[in-house]
Amino acid sequence: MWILKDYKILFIIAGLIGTLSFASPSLEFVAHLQGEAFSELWILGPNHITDDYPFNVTAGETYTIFIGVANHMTFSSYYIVKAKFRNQTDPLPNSIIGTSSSLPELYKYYVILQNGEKWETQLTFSFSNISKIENQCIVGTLKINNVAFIVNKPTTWNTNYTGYYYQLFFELWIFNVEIEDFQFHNRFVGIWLNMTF
Amino acid sequence: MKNCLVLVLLCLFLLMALLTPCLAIDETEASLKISEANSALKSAFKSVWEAERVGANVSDLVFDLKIAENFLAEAEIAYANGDLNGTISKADQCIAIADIVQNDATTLNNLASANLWGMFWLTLTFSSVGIMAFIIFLILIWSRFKRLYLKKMMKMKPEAT
Repeated sequence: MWILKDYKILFIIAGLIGTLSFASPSLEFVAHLQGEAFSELWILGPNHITDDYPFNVTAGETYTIFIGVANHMTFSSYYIVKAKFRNQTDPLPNSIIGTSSSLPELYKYYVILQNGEKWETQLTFSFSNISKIENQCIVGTLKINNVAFIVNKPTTWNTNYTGYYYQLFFELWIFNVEIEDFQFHNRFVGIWLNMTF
Repeated sequence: MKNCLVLVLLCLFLLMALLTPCLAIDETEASLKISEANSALKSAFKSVWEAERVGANVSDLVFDLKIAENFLAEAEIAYANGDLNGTISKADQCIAIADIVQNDATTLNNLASANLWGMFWLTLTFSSVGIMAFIIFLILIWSRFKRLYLKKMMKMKPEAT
């Protein structure tokens, strides 16, 4: 059997819950309560699925992939997707300390998205001026969406995986309104490519 | 007569030679134009973002920003392909749209800020009145309940176990 003190506690709890319920719309203004904020970055193969990515590549052929970004930052965001090309020893972005790769960007996309929106585009690439000297392969020109970039990127024969490996990767940068500049958003995706002759 | 014609032609040639460097677009100018377009787009986006933060509907402005952003991308591609005239033209289009968006965003921001303050005070009033009414209601219920409870207790007879 409950005594008067128990009922008192029950009334106090009900009072607190009711007060918080009535105060919550005002708290929303002050605290800007919002869900988890994040962005997505992806690459899809030529068939628009996460399969059949170009792997064995050769000079003169054109390859297709799809690249996409989705905004879940709870507000509009301004992104840059930077395409970079590396060999097996060039630096990748560092996810732990959140720094981008020091390699120069070759091609970039400007993307402005409202919260919940996504963007996707087709990207084509091809190689030319490929040379092979002993156990080294040099890619002279990389063409992305019909824009040619002279890369002159060498790579050595990988004995473990038997191939001349390169990586085409994409970094996601986001515009920070506080510093009024773009900063690496700590997201990147890439595909490995084996240069064949 | 022949000498006069030669002199006129020579003057025209000289004039063209002098004007050419003024009219030609060099790579630095094109590069600067891209930077200018980039800055204009950043400022426009910042204004839109600020308007959105105070609750404005920025869908139309974001749509226009996307058009400006496309012009900037086209300007960069034109620059990479060595089309300097195309670069300037596309960058100018980007700047023009970005400037319009920035102005519209600033106006929208001012309107939305005023609305936001109005909404804030309305919500605060609703919350305060609601809390007070609820507490008064709860106190009334509690005192009535307490009275009934005590009355019930008084009527109870002690039971020997």
